Amino acid sequence: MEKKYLTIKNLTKIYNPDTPDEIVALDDITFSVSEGEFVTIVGSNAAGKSTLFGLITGSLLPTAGEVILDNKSICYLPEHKKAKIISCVRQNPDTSIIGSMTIAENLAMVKLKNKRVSLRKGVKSEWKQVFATMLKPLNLGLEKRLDEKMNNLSGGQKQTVALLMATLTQPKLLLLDEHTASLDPKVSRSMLKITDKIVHQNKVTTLMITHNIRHAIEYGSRLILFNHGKIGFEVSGMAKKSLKTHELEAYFKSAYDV
Amino acid sequence: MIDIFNTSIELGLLYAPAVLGVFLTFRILNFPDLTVDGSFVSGAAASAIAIRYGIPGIPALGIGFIAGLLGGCLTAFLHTRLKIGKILSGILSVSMLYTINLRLMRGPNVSLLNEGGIIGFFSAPMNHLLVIIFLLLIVILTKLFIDWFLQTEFGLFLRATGDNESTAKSFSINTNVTKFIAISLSNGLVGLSGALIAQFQGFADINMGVGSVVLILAALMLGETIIYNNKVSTTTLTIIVGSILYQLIINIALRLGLGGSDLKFITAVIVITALVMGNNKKKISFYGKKIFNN
Repeated sequence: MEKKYLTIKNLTKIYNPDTPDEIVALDDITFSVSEGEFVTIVGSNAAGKSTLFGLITGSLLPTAGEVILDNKSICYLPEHKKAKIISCVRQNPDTSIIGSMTIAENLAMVKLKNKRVSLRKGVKSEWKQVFATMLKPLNLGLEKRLDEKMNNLSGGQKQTVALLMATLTQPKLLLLDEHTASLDPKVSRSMLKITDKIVHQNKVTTLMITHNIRHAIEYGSRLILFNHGKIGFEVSGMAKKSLKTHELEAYFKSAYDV
Repeated sequence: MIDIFNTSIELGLLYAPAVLGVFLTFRILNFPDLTVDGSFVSGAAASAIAIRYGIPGIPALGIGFIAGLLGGCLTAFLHTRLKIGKILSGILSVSMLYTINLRLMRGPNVSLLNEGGIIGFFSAPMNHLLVIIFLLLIVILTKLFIDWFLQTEFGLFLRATGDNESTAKSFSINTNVTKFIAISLSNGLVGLSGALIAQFQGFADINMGVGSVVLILAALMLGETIIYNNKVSTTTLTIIVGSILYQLIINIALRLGLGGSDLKFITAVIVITALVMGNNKKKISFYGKKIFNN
């Protein structure tokens, strides 16, 4: 059997437990992901997708269960330590970049992620060359704007840099939380192509939440559908490739039009 | 008229390290640190006591810096470890420092008359030019230190923490550490100003820190209205000029017949004016973009 890289074990999250407002966001979820797998996650609002990401990144603590990444339980690691092994790109690019700092400074901070911080110069001059060669294939002309503030970039450009930053340090796990949702359809498509390319090049284990059913089928090797805090549906390999958009939509309908 | 300029430049330079320190917390870290009222006195008191014990002027300035730094550590500890809010941490610190400062001075004030200190170098009749050159040296060194510091690896992390703490955490930055160091360092510089002023005035007094936050903010904001620029090195330069400009305004106001007791009101008005102007500038693009508190 293939080695499982990321294991979610009996993960449960209950908000406001033992009160009238009790909400079971995640209900005893168990699944595992192999190294290098690209999993897309779909589900309507309040299905538990974002709660799952919150538990993995450490911004939330689980009510029960655990998350195991590369043979280590990571649920209770402090956020800044988890950030060394898990990268996350969210819907709003401003949550993954520092707007008042330059492109080079942002990239430099990512490069410093796994090193001891010192009082040496933050942006080494030789790094700028490296950053430029990384940005060039994206065809956004950003390699010439390294010393410009992030805030001067468009949403799509920011998000592209954010994605680049997320994969720069070879994370063990990449989380994409509707990272194309705030972009227009054209930019969103090219963003997904770039995502796919980066994920395959780096062979990074990836979970991608999306509301776009077509994207969920088109990209990734496996699809998981969340439904009221449980896994409603799972498909991978050939079955996923042959899955039709309307079949998945039909499933959505049957799950929610009760 | 000349003596107004001399006094203003001197006082402006004496306060400049504190203004640069407050720039670190208020602007870079986005942390409205009220500790200043206490750490300013701590710096003055510690350096005055050091001189009483026969320590020469310049090492005594270092002692003032360390005393301010420790005051900052107190606030940083309350905020980062005990999770007390930003404003309240500062207020609690000021309260605690008041007692500590009184204990340190064994009374409400310490006189340094005939005790030497820096002022001894420039013994009467005071050579204003020499004093200004000496102060300029300290202030420029402080400015260059901050310019350099904010470009280091740690400086990048500090700026990221101030801009967006949760994103900074996702960069695996331990924001507790960046905040702790920035708040301590900032108050160290405030303590340095306190020490300088104690040595130049020849005394340290428990009430000398009252309202210094507002005074320093007024100087900072005056400086920022001179030029808006993306570059940290320009901003640090303009806020030194702002510190002098503030003293000039105050000294002219005094000359025009206002009493010393009117000054706090004027200072607050300067801060309010600068704040309102800053709010309007966001709407008027003519002045360019303001980076630090957008």
